[in-house]
Amino acid sequence: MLQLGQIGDYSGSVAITVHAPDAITADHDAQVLTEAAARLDSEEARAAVLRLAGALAGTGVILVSPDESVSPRVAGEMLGVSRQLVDRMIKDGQLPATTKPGSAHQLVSVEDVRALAARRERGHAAVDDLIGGLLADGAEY
Amino acid sequence: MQRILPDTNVLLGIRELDVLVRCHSAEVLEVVWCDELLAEFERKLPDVWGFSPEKARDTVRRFTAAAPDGRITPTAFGGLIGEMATRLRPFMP
Repeated sequence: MLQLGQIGDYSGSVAITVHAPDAITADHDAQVLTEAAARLDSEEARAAVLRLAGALAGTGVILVSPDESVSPRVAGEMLGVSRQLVDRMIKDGQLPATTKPGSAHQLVSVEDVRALAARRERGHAAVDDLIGGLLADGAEY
Repeated sequence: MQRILPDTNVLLGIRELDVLVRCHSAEVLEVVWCDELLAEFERKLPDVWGFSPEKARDTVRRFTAAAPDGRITPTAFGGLIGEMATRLRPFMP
């Protein structure tokens, strides 16, 4: 979830993940972006941020920077899977996780989550290709 | 995660194959396969679904694309393959 003070950290590349079902987070982020837009001097930049905030509101989209880490819960939202499945992916080694010194809370890097999401997407596409191809070639369901 | 080495006749039932690969894709279970299994799959496809040899080969290629990390060898899983009452038995090490 974005905090107003973090906006400055988002001047570089920003990842937009569209699988998150958490509309409350999205609405919050949209509000933060709207407030941030008001601080911008450039009219062009202000319009761009407001467009982004408008697109974000109520959509379940979350904004994360590619070089940050997120909790397993947020990783699950990004992947569109349950927290339990994320925990299993971490346990199975599919998703690397770290803990901060002195903390038991796990963190996963956004880059790793995005890479996993891309692998999963390729897997789904390959399955569709296999089954769709069989049906197109005359196999009867 | 549970690993599944399907028999060839499972692959030849499109409903079963559909459920199996979608469960694999959703990471509910892990489908594994060996070269001998896919060779039999390819041999049977023309008889079962009337595929040309080219379509059969392409189907096998698409199957491996759907489970790209699932290749096992009979040496590593000889015991598991030995439990199968299929024509794979002659390929056992």
